[in-house]
Amino acid sequence: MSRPLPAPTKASLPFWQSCRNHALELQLCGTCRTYLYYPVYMCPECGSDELVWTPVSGRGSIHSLTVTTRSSFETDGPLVVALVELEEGPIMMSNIVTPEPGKLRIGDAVTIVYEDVAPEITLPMFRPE
Amino acid sequence: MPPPHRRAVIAGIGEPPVGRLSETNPMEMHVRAARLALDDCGMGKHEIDGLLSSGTFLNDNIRHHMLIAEQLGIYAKSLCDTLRTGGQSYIHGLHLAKWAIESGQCEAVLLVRGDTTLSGMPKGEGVKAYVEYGAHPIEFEVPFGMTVPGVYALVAARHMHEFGTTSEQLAAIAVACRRHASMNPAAFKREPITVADVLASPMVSTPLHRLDCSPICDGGGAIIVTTLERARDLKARPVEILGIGEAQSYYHMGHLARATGARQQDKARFGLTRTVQAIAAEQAFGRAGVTPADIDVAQLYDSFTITVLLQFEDLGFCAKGEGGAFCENGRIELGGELPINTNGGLLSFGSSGGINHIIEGVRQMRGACGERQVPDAQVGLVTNVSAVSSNHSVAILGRH
Repeated sequence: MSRPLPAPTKASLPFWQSCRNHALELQLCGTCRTYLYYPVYMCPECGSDELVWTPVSGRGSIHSLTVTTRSSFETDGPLVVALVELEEGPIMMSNIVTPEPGKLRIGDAVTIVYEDVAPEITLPMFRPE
Repeated sequence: MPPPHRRAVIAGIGEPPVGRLSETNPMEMHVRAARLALDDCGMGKHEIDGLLSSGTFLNDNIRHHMLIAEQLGIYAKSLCDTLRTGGQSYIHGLHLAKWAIESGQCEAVLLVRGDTTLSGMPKGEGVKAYVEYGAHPIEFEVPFGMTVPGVYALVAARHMHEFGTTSEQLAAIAVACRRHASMNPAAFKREPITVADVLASPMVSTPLHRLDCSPICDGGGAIIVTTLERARDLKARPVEILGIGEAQSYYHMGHLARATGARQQDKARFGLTRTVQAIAAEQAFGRAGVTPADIDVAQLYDSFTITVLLQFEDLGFCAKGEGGAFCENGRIELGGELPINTNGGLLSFGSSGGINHIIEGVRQMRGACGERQVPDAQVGLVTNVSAVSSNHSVAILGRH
């Protein structure tokens, strides 16, 4: 099985387009000023629907990680699955791209890299800083 | 409080064999389990007026519960549904059964489970099948390679980072379950293992080794809940349901870790290593009028060793962060302070889902566990956990 690709929805299309543009954007709630991920229809913190797509830095740190050689799709070598806490607040699941997965630690600073995995889809991933 | 004669009790249990059961299928397993439970208590199937099943990997469909009722010849029900909260479904079902009995909606409710995820699926396809079943967020997690072991591995890694929990401490849970399974002729995996064996087993997803993960295994079970008044005339000793609690949080791990949308006062209370089982436990212990110190034996849902370790903390047996130390020095083995999973658990008895934890909990309260019996057990705890340690049901059972 090869890597399953996300199917963008009405809520998430701007997010996936920002990934294709190599310039990550997330929704910012105009009422409570929380950055939101994953893309939603109302702010899950305060309930507002004043959500504005806003560029984010792409920087974060590792909240947790796991290294596996046996995921749901075939990979060349080990796959690092991580929860990355972005500077702006949200925590997103992604992969860490690194030649030395064994050296990664929770708390490490990471920065975004854009992986053009298919003509229509770019996945946001991270590399150690 | 219901009038005493109306109190819901567990009157019957049925447990077919577990293992690699190539000759059977989920529907047949449901029928077998149900018949075993009816025979166990001596109830006729015409008395059953409530039926709850759970989603299966194989042969599931929107009318699952109706099909099982048809096979069993149970025509008219006043509660009939398929519960789809994964491994948490069974104590959740027990809760629904209790409400149905005590409100007068039903006289006797059958909870039933059967699945053949081992023999029914090609080898090595388990992980992919779970993904296809929708067990993980398709858009934001599956593309990055999330799997069930991966979910729990992320939780374990975070727990080790926050509290210094070690692989050896996690392994002690697998060792305890295997020791208990070695005393259980019905268990799937019975050969005793050591901590060193667990650490030497292949790494599935860091930090979880193969022996930290419950094996895929065919299995099932059935439970009959009825009024105390009815149960008194039946064959088996009834078991009291002293209290049940439930709590459910999230599915996307980023949301779970961030406690997205939680009330301000709960933001620091919950996260990846701090589950809402604490809420379910408060409810169960409060309703039962007991504390963790009163628990004689515990069947703790054990999809993975980390699933169990978190529970020692969130159920209140020890402080947050001390779950690792709690597992040491035989405390959780028969003869120790809090014996767990006396049938061997998912980790070694096998099966899938949480019905067998309830069944073993009932046996302990009946005094029917033979070599595995906790002497004079009066109060037992049973838990079911699913999703990403985010769906919880907790039951406290009592000897009648």
